[in-house]
Amino acid sequence: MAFMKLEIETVSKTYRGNIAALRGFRLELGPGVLGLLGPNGAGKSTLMRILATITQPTAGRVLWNGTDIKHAPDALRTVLGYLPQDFGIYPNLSAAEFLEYLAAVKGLDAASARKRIGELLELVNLADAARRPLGGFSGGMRQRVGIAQALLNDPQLLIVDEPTAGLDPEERVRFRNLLSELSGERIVILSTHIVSDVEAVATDIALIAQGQLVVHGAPEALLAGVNGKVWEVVIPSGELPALRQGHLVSSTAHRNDGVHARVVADAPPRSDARQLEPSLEDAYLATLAAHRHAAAEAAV
Amino acid sequence: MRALGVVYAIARADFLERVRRYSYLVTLLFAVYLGYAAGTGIISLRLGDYRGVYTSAWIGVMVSLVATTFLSLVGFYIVKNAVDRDRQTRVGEILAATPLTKSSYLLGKLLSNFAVLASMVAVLAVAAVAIQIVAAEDRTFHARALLLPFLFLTLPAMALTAAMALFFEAFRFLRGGFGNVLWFFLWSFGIALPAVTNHPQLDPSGLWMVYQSMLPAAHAGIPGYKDGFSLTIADKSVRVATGFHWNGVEWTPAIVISRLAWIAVAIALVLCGTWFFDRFDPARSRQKSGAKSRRKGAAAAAGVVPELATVRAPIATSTHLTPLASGARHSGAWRILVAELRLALKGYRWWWYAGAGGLLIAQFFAPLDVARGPLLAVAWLWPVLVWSALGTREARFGTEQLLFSCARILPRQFPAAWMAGILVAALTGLGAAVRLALAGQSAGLLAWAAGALFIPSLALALGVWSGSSKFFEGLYVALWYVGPLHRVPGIDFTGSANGAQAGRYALFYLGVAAVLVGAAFFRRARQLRGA
Repeated sequence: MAFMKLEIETVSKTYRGNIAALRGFRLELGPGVLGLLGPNGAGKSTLMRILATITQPTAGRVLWNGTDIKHAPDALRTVLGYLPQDFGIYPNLSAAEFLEYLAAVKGLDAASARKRIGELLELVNLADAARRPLGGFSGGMRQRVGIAQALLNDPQLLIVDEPTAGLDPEERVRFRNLLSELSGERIVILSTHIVSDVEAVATDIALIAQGQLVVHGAPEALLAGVNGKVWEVVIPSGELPALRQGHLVSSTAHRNDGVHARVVADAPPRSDARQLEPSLEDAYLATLAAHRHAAAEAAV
Repeated sequence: MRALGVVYAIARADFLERVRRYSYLVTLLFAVYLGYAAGTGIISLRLGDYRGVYTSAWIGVMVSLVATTFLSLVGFYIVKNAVDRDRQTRVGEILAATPLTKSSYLLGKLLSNFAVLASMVAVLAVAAVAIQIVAAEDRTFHARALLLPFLFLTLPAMALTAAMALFFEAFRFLRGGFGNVLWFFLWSFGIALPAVTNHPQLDPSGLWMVYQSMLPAAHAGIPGYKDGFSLTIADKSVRVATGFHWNGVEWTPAIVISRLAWIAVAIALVLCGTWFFDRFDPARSRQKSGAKSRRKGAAAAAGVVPELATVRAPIATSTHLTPLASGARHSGAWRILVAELRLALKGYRWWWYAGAGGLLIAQFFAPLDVARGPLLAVAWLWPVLVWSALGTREARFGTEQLLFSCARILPRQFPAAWMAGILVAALTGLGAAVRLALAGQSAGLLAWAAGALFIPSLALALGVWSGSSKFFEGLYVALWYVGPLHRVPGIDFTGSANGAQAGRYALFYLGVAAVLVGAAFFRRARQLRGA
């Protein structure tokens, strides 16, 4: 297998109006799936665009196998598959024609492209719609075309930004399976808000907030941080606001006997609280809350 | 009152969104340039070989007519994006889900279009004052004579322009490039309307009315005057008619009403537009494509087939992706050229190809002068929308991120797109080239080649720099109208009207093409480097 290493060295990005999207972000990646999690506006998409050579960082550098992608972007672009969060299509082309066009742009020879496109259309479940104009595709179908184009050149680095947005649950599962199967031989960066997607496929997790890397590690390490700190309490719905006031409530479910609230806390929030197995969502919310708390204290 | 409030809210939001963009500054700079051009004689109002002394009346009418004619042409392209912006940003769909009526929406947009154009007129009105002060040919300042032409001549014409732009946006067939091309011809027709129809009331620009107002004084004060009246560009051979005394248009109630009536026409036009406006319902255009698919015998219309209609494979489908061979990533340049050509020509109906084919065949059989003259001219107008997509397609369809993250875009995709444009020019004008070659007219052939290179280069440069096809569509049609159609030497980029100078002008156009492609390349390289 080819040597694969992506190094993000203290990358910062400041937009006009002195708006900092990334601040000294550092990360080093090898083959596997990195789940990039973070709240809205955390800087995930900016980081994705920088890694995809669309945007240049204000400071810092990104190295692909030791080569700075700012000075030699094609070193990465040749082996890059990128699915942006928002992308367009040419409405008059069919799915197959659109992929043929992008295959030509990516420099694939005709025979390889034809074979690859056939396989990819099967893979994303669009073989029957391959000859229909893209203009008539639904959002989910377009997203699957986007997934197919990202895999056209058999990328060594696959960057997917919110890839399951617009997909129905069945297609989401298919895509997760696909990512899992692809991950062994390449670096995959999966940016999403959907923690369950990350939980299903990621071998590594990076949590980003306010343009900074909060934590990076295996999912187990993140889970270990909240082990023994997740509780379930059953309360009348009227008491829920008070519970939220004093505790981090990661989820609630309304049942006949009251509201079942999932709480992340060092100590049981009530005497009748029942301890639960932590989920990645609990860990994510707890880590994020701790980061916000630390940032607020630092500001004071 | 509530409806008026809604109209105002729509207009205010749209106007603020526009004036907070850098492009608005460019439009104001364009207005400043028009004022400068009028003040320095680059554009002049002429009565035969003469112009009037720079009195308040003359300057007021001159600058207001400059605004009326040039802003009505260019301003159309500037403001023809009010509805499109809501479509692109999808704000339209949010608005469509409210009780907002089509007429309130379009009237609000009309008001905003008008406000943008009026702000440019205001710049020119200030310029008019400055011209009188700087020129100092007549130091008596008459505010009414100087400024009323802007109020009664220009602003109604701007209201009409604003309404036309909106009507074109509301009407699906006029929304795109075809509408942009059509506007130039409609605008030309509008200027000539009172002369053509012999109805002085049908004078949206007001040129005819001003001409009629000046005629008696011109006959009395200009020796040998023979009814000439024009706005000319870059013709400095004008003399000052010192004996011409004219105090401006006499704004009688009848004249004022006839001018203000154009505002009523503008409002009526927009209200007519509500009939065609789809209110951001994508199903309207999909129904069209559905009918087309049925004609083709397709199982179902692509646009109305729900996603669930695709056959589903089991969730556990395994991924059979064959790894790419190491040599698979190195295809020849011709492959991307074919892909770009196919992309450029995709989506046109049969009649478009039939028209292009008919023009091509006619070039082979018509007399040489006709083949390389009017036939080549029309053949090179026919694909204007193919060229206007050059450099803008990525921005228009939002595929920049997909393309710009691919390797070797500058050395591969960029020249392939340009070459595809050249191939379209070469194919549509092939008949004339063959005829010139057979006739041994090497200078003519060189001119043809220069034209075939110049057109896609202009399209690519304007497209990459502006991100919109409108500028090429407007400018190219104007150039085509003056050059190839009216055979103005030098401006005819096909070379047909350039006579003995054809070779020299060909070299000029080749040089311009090189500069344009260089400019486009530079801009695209910057885009690829990222902001």
